[in-house]
Amino acid sequence: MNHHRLLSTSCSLSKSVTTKLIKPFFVRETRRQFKPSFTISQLQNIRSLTSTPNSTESDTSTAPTRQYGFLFHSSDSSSPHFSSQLKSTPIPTPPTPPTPVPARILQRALSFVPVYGWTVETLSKAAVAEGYLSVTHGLFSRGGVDLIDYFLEDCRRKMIDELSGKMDGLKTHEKVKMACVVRLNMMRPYIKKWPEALAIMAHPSNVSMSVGHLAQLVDDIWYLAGDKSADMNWYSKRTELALIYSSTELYMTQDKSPNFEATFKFLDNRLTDVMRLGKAISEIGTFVDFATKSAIGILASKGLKFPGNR
Amino acid sequence: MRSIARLVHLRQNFLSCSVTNPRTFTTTRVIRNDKGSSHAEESVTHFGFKEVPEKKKEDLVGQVFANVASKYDLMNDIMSLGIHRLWKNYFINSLAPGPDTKLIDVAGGSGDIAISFLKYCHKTYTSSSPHVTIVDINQQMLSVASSRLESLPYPKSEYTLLLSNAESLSPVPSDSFDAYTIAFGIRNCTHISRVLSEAYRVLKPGGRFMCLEFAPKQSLAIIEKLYDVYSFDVIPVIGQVIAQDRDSYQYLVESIRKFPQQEQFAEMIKNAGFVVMGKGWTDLSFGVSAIHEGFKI
Repeated sequence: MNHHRLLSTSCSLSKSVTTKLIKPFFVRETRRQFKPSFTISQLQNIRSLTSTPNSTESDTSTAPTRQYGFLFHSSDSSSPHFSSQLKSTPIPTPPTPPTPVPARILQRALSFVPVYGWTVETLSKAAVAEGYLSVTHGLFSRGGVDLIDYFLEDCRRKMIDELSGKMDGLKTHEKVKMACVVRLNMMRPYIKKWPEALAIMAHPSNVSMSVGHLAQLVDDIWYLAGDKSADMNWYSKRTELALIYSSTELYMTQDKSPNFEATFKFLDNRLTDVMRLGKAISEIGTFVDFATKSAIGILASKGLKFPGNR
Repeated sequence: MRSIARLVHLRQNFLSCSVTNPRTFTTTRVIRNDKGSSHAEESVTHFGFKEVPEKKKEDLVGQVFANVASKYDLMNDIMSLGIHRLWKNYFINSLAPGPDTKLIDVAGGSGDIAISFLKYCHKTYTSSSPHVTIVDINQQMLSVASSRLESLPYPKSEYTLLLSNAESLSPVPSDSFDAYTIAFGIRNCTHISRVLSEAYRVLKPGGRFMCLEFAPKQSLAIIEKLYDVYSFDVIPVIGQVIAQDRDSYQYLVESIRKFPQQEQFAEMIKNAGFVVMGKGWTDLSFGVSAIHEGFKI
């Protein structure tokens, strides 16, 4: 009974992961949610960052317009209003008529999290601190979930802002590590209350929200690291990084070492593990490939016919 | 399904033939007189499915509630099978008042919302100073609230009773309340937009408007069918049997159908000046009722 329930939950979980991950595989240029946090200048930084010297001619000519086509084509992208909108983190449910007050309250609420946790009480205190009333917390109908949702989005955007232009000349794995470190550093003030947030995020009704944020985060990290693969590795890279990042974050909640040294060591070890594993897998791949080809060659020499080997 | 409906119809006919009710005729006569005398010059509004002059609606609604005041609570429990208690609990829980919230509960004659509000505050906070002002247009309904509150241990300083029309809360100063609630009341008001702008006026900046009301649109077709049969064929019969007043409950179910749909009502709330988050409402029990919200920010 229990086992069955567990199985079905994990099935639905993996389903939501796949849908998240499959989407960009076919329509890679539609990773739009990631985009609006850029201004044009940041964009140029990132373009210089992601275009590697040894990339082919066709790659460099088509990639920028395809990836950022929406920005170059949209006429109002250069207006100051639009660029200021790009900078602020959107809140989970938008208000009508548009007003910055809910976003201000959420931003303020983050400073109350270390004391009151991811709760309605935090939102109430923030509303009062912003000059409103304790009942104004009702702006966020999901309470703490809305606050977590906002926090994760905010951190991801800040990470991109902070990394852009700072990763020139680094190797891919160094870029990935740097991104993880930057993102983990953002957890420092909230880490004592983070287990509480993880419990809320694990609630069945919030799983899609939390998995979505994690998928977006690892996708952005790979993207910033200059990854342009469109093969099966696309999945394995993202899955590996998602596992590494979330386990490191979990480790961090229990880390008592000064300045979270143990956490960053843990991150280092996990990344090295993956690199070693990746190398092993590619070696096995080469071996299998070689062995198959030789076998086919031997059999062909004996007179057998193969579709690819006439 | 159809046979159940027919059965209910039969019972209904039987009951309405066998029980004579003087009040029934009074209501009907009032409407007929008005229609005959002043048809052209006055603007009309709906009273259930009937059209009545705007001026008369208030009196007619007043009469309905004067009739049902004594049996109001019992009838609510029977008609909604107790679900209205769940709705009201959910309503207060999502209001989640702070320890010193000042609430104005309009059309709060039964005292339900006021009592759950005080209960919530005393249960959640060790030291709290909540205050609720109960407003109703009907003296009979207000006395129901006051007698219920007197039987509870809450100090008299925590509640005030006020006899006033929701469309003009003239005794109430502007910017004076944290939260404004109206549960199953706004439907009975003649001018909904006036009620909303008064709500906006009396709320402090940051104040929260919350309205619990029956909704005319259900989210599932099957629920809508069942609900139609239940409300037109069953509720008036229950009203006849328990409260000896069929017309009042016929009005109740008709007025639900006449109330603006969820989208429309959310639009009206925005027009009154409130900020609305997302679509602006939450459906309860597949849209049999809905909680609408607005913020004065």
